Amino acid sequence: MTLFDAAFLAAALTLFLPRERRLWLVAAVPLLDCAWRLSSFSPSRIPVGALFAAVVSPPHAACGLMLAAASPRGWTEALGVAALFVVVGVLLLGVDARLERAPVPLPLRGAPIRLLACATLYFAFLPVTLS
Amino acid sequence: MQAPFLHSGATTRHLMQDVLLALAPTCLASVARHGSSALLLLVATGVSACLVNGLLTRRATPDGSVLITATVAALMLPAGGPWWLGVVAGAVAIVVGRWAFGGLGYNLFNPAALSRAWLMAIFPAEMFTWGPRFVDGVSQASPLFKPGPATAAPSLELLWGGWSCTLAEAAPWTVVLGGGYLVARRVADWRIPLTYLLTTATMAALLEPGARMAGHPSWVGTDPLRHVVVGGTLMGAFFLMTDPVTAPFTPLGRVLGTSLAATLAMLIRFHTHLPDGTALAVLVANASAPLLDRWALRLRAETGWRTRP
Repeated sequence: MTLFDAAFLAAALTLFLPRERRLWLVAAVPLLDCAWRLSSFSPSRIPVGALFAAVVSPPHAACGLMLAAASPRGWTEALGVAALFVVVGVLLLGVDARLERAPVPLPLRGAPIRLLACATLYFAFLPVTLS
Repeated sequence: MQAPFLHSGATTRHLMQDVLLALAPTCLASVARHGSSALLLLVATGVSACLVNGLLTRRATPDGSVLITATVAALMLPAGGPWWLGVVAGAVAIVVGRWAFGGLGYNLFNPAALSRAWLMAIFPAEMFTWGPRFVDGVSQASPLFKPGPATAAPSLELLWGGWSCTLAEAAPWTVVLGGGYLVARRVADWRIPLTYLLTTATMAALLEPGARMAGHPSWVGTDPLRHVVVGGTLMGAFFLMTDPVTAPFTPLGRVLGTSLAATLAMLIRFHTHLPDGTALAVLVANASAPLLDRWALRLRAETGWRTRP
């Protein structure tokens, strides 16, 4: 799983979790993980960021775990993952609000159409993030 | 007489007719340039879209919007591509781009841009196989082809066309002609093409250093005007971003969304392995439309600042 995949999956997960402001605290996970890994007192690969996410916002712990799985190797990558998570997450919230008002066909209503929108955005963002 | 009784006379049917009329010169030019293969792609996409739409909506006669979607989707297919690519493009545009999201008026993403993005992901070999295979003495490989032609073509020659890339690039001036017609008829908001083209030129000037361009010949990056007339820029400015359903409905939102799309398209063009990324950039801009509209409305409520409709 690449950094991009991890950030995107975490953002997609937000569609199925409670929408609270503290959700965005989860964006700190890659930064915390990076700081922990680079610090001299890190005896093992404890996912500090994921633990932080589970403490500050238990409903969004899954997002935190997904972002921790990204394992950025430096500050640039950590910032990139955090930024991508926030940008895609905010976009998906807007998309979801519009989907709720649309007369989506019954078989696709709910999770399937959300996943379809996510997949479309994934393809759209893939080359953008390569840049 | 009060507002509910005033009617400009413009109906959805008239709007559709105007858009189809605006697309006609580009279709004719692509057939004139590429011959039967372009005609086959246009017909295959149209027939596929109409059939699929008929099956899904149980209506025998398709409305104009289906034909518009199919035509725009076909014009973004590679010249000389196989006919079945048109069939898939038409079906994806209608099924995934329109029906799945609630049908006409509710689609979140521009169906033609979505169709191209999906085809790029599923059939990359077919979507990006232009160039030597189609160089026939009349058409040349697109200047955006990586690696592209070594010698620079004058900007005006680029506008005249003859590039073997997508069908719409057969004659870019016809896209300008059709787009100008839409703007003159007020079917398209003039802010959108203007912002798109200005942002593209600005980004081309800012991103100019040749060393940062991945795979392009260096001459492509030397003139912002070239970037305005090549690739999917003109189609994006006049036919993709002006879609009233997927574009933001506030003027400020439209300007911001269009700038975002043009910026992303140029970043993709300059910094990735893809020769052009207009369709992908349009999809990201479409997804940001609800957010941009919310910001624009909040700004209007808080400051009272508003633009002319």
